[in-house]
Amino acid sequence: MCVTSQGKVIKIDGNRAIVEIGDKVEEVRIDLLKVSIGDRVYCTSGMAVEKVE
Amino acid sequence: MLFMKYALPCAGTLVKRGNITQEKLDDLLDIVKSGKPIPKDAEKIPAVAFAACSLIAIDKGKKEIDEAVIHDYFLFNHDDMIDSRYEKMGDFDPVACRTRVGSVLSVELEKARVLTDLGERDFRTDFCDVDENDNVVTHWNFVVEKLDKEMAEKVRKAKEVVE
Repeated sequence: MCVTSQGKVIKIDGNRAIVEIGDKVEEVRIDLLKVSIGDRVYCTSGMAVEKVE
Repeated sequence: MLFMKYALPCAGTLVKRGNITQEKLDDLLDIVKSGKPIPKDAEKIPAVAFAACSLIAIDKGKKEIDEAVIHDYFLFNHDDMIDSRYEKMGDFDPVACRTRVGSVLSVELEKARVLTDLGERDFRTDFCDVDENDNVVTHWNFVVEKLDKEMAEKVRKAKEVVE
């Protein structure tokens, strides 16, 4: 996977989630995935692209 | 198919990162060049581009990535993605990765000399037959497609504003 970051979903609001990446948080679009709080996702450029298996 | 024509020129970076093999990329290039059906899930190999296009499609209320979505991303939003990705990854040429509109100056077997804002350069014509004076989109070292005059001007103006 050529994406940049792996983070943990800590909040979901509609089609967006707050993802904890290291010591930072980032808001990303989650339209492409079914995610739940606690899931780990690969993110890049404001998008959650794939769940971490 | 059009999505792969736009996305595959970038895929050398994926080979360098180990996401796909050069052999796999060469196979995909041959498939696109020949016009054969794209293998299932091959469009997800350029994961970032596929995700970006998917979101544009969703925002436009579309059920699939069509030509308008592909143009929206690769012609009008790709440069921003390049800058964002280069800032974080730094492992590719952000100048070469931009899509550019150019004018075909001459055509030879399997390549065309195209004038873009970077000057005159040769580009592969695996994906697109071109003639002199055609307006084309280039990406890395490929001609991706021909554009009509109106779209070519629209893209040129949009990129002038950004750059």
